[in-house]
Amino acid sequence: MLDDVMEKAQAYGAHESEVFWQETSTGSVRFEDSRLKSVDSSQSRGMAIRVVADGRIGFATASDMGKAREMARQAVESAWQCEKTEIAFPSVRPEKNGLKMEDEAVSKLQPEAMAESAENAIRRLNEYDPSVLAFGGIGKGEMRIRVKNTTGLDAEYRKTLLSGSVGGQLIVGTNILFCYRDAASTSASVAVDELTERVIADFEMSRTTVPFEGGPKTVVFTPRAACALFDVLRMGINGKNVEKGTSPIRDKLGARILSEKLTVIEDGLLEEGVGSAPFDDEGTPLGRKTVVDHGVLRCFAVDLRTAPKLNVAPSGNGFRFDRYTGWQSYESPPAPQSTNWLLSPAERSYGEILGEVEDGVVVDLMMGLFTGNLLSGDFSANLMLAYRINKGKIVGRIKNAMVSGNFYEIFRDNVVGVSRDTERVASGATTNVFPYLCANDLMIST
Amino acid sequence: MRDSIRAVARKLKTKCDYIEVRVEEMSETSIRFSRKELDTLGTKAEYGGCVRCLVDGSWGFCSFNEVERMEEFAEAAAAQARLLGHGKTVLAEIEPVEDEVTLSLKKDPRGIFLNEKVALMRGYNDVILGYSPKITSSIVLYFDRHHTVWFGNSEGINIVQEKMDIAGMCAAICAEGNKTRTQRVIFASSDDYGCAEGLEAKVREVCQLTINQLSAPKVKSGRYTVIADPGLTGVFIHEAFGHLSEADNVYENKKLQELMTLGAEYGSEKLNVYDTGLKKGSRGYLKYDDEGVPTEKTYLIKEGKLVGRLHSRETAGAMGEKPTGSARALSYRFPPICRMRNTCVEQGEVPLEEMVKDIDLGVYAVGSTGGETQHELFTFGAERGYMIRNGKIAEMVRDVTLSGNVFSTLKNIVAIGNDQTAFDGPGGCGKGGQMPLPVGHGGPHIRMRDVIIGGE
Repeated sequence: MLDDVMEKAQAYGAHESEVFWQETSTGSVRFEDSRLKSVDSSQSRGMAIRVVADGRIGFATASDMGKAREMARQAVESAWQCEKTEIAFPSVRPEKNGLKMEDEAVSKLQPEAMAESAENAIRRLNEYDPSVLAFGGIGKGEMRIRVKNTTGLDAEYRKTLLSGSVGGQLIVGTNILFCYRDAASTSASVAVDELTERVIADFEMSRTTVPFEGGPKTVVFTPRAACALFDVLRMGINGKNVEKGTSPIRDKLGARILSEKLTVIEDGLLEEGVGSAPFDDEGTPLGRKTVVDHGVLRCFAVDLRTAPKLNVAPSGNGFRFDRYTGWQSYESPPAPQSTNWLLSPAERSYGEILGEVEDGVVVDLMMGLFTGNLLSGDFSANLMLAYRINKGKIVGRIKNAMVSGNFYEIFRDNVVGVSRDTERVASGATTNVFPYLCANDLMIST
Repeated sequence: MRDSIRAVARKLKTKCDYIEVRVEEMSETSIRFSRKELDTLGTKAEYGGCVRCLVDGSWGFCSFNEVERMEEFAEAAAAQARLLGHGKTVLAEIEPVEDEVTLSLKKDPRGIFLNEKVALMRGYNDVILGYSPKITSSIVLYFDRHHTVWFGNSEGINIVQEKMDIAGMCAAICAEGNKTRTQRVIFASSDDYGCAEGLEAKVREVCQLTINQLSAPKVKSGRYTVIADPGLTGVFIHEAFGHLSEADNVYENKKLQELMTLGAEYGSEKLNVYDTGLKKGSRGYLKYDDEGVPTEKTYLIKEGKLVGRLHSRETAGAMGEKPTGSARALSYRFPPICRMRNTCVEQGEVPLEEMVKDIDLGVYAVGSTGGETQHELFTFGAERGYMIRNGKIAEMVRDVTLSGNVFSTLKNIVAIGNDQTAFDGPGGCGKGGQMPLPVGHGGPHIRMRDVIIGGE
């Protein structure tokens, strides 16, 4: 099928072409209102073709295999509308690097077993507090990716995925509280019972809402909150934003952009990482690289198309992530994207960092981050789950409040603590390992 | 296709309490300019289906691309449903219709050559990049999608429905040192390619606004009296109340039902809110939802009181209410869930000048960058803002993100404007991993007090 489509494209006038094939099967259970509601499954497959005709790039996708021939024609036709762009498809087959991405325990997982884990989570939350309504889901997936091009590359990999989420909702009067935890892995290491215990711990901390007056405060970001904010840096180093001149750090390679306490490693080979793979969605091998070294910017994320424009080698960041879900999809054209990120931990424990905060806030879940001007680093988000710190102790939940600041200013000038405790944070098609980050002088609005 | 769906539904009928089959064909053209370059020009051809079965109160859902293996997948969905079943679900009754819904378009994008569409967008891109040297970059987006959806169930419903979705935006970007500012023109329609045409004047206006944003200060953090323009009002009501009205949150949640009893007071008697599938041209326009239920205009709030909610057949059946045609699925890959269509605050009586004149210090918030909600709390971003000082709209401010609480903010709507504009854009609504679902918004200017704005 792939050869056929590439041949068609060449016949229509393409000089080079590349096809991307994705096959996915999933199985999942979903629970809401403390009841198992649905068992879902899916079988999907689709392909994308990218052609180069007279130095111009064309693109088309299809899950309708009856239209494969038409897809090849449309890709070539669309190329004629575009300007000439430099692009070179890779020809060397990436090595497997001994990366283990498949776990038989995941492929063999039956819906009955997933339903049982879900029932246990529901039961445990009900034991904890019968007025907490449980929601969540457990899902597994098996994916096959193949990239083939006319310059000689033909590579594929398979990956298994397991994800779990457990949440609870508690309504007291007009006070509605949500707590949830999630995890994802390429192996069967996702422990639903641990997620459930963490949700219970979250409820214990957030049951009481305490009065709070806004102003500039010291803020401790939990690993998942910190990871969400570092999307700003992902946008900043995105080769496309650098090339189009819209990234505020476009000319900061080699310069200090963040606190020297901060080192960011991108690890495309992270063990059990959801984003780990031998190669990106264009066939460029993945590896481990330093993005920010003690605050100094070391590289940008580029794909095959932006690499020549920035005069660098492709960095293994050409991914086809759906812009809304963050998951790989043949329907999205390749673009520079970052995969698994590790933010280096430091010396002190989370407890020690917390203990030194006289008057501040722990931010755990933020809402509406994306509505801000994130490219410039300016963020302003509703505190969906946040706690007041008084004299080194968490004293209760705060709500109806917002946190604002500029990412590049806060994480360059105001970082006062990085914890040695880290957590794995699942976000779209990436697994990230982040510590707690403490920064002062963030504006809290109430 | 209608016959094969009918055959599968009939065959599996005995194995479950209810079965439905949906098959979808979708083709898309998308254009994206980024600075000088035509960044993406792509086409999509999607084809797939899904089966949903109900057995003893539990669902089994299976989606697939190999439509020719439909029956096999239907068996799988039925088996999945049987796995959990130990309860009872009553689906609200509806008329078993057979129907064929074809498009009636004002201007059909399928009749426009690809190079014409590209030229139109290139034109806007050139306007942006040629406006001023201060404008350093641009993004111009356009897409049109044509869907054919076949739907059939074990109760004899058999419908084939065509849908069109056209949308895009033109964004001007200024990058100066470490400052990046952007403003956009958005457009969308479900029946008219014309929505993408003739936008040059608006694009120029937005270019100037983007340049002005370079020198605009960040808004100061605090609680303000806010006037939202129609573009923001629509997104505000979508986030503030629309999501809470989706009955799948409520139908098995006793505590939330107590808060959401019909008749409960949520706002002043001036406040009327509805969600409709009937507004032609809106991205939320729909004749039948994805359960084959005809859509309608559903009042959510009338004179400040809760009067309705957005139902699927399951939630309506459980609550003994009428289905509203609100069960929608993003695509064949997803089951239908309770969603909005076109959500509006109904027009009031107060002119904008009246609203502004007695505000000593406030914020006039214009346009939307989106929003998010978690039942009680919600947040939404404005494209730009202006301070209101001593009864007048004054200097421009930037980074205006607002937050509210459903139990207080709706009651704090103190004036509703005498204008009414719909503002549909290229984004969409997200829920349960199904995003972006085409929806529309609209409303008049509204004045709210005590709104939290994040800032310096």
